[in-house]
Amino acid sequence: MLPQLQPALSEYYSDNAEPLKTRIFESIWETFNQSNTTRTEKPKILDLGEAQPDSFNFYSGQAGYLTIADCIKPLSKLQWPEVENPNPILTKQIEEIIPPSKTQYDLILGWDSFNFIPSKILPFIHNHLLGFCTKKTLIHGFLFTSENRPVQPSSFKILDSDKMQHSVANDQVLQHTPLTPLAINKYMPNFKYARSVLMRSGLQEFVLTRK
Amino acid sequence: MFDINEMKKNVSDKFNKVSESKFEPESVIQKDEPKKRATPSTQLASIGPSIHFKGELTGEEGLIIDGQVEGTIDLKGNQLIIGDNGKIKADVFAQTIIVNGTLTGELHGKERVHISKTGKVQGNIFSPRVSLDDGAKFKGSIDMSETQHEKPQPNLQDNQLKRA
Repeated sequence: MLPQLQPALSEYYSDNAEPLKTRIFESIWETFNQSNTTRTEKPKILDLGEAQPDSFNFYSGQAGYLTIADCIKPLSKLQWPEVENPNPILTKQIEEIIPPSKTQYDLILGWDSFNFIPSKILPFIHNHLLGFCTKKTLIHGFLFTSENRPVQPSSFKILDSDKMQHSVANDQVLQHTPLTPLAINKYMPNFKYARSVLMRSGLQEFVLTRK
Repeated sequence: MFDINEMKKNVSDKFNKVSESKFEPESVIQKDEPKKRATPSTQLASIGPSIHFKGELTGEEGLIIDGQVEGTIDLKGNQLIIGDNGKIKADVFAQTIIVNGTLTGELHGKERVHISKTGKVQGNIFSPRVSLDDGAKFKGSIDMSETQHEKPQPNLQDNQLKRA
């Protein structure tokens, strides 16, 4: 049975766009700027979302190396293979969506991907992302804490380190079971749910640090 | 190797009108730049929609590509505009690169790279300034440090070592 579509979110978003005060993202950049005084390289960023002009303007001044993977939608469409050993199939599918690279990143922007990627598949994503990580890599993201979430991954524009704009394609939502910090710790065993801030809209901004 | 200096600049009046109004190439020509770069927009060399070129394309003047190019494009300190119909599978070296069409490959923009709302780029960008319009598609990496913007020259020592 298909999940029931419900009109909602209008209480959160006018014109399907909502300003976000991003305290954790701001503190991440403060940390990078502080460490910039002791190192010459600007941070390397892996953005799992799609290219956004406003975010580019932000990255231009702040980042040294940026990869736009534009992979949240294809990752959210991954399904658990109907075979005994799904490991090679899933691994190959994930590698096609995010090609392996020798570059290791300081920050991975996961946006709302954790709300859309099937939880059984998250450990495979975790294993693949480890190849892009150093011992200090951070993963930043947002969780939908209500029992409704947008039908498809939304878009986030970085306006400044403490300000983003969250846009959904339309105001239709699906019922879902929100992912908990405990579940994220379970599915992402090399990371820990280090800090989170609950916003008025019901979005929870969080950061994962390496264990 | 194909040298665009030898190309005839037979840009049609119709195409000129489009390029002047849409691409605004004059805006990126600086007054204090050498004379060879101060080429009027109407005299930018062009590769039309019916042209399909494979190989190494080099030149020392601005170029508009509305056709298909596969290989390498090296315009040194000049401007490259990929028109709406342009389909490029190449590594590109230029001062300024503006993409209105489709490009797959590495983009080395010494000054800047811009992807317009109709532009689609898949590959890696090396440029100190990268900008996108709303609706532009990009997938790949961007190195914003001020290095690797020029095509590497053959290393004589390496060649000599190989021969030895």
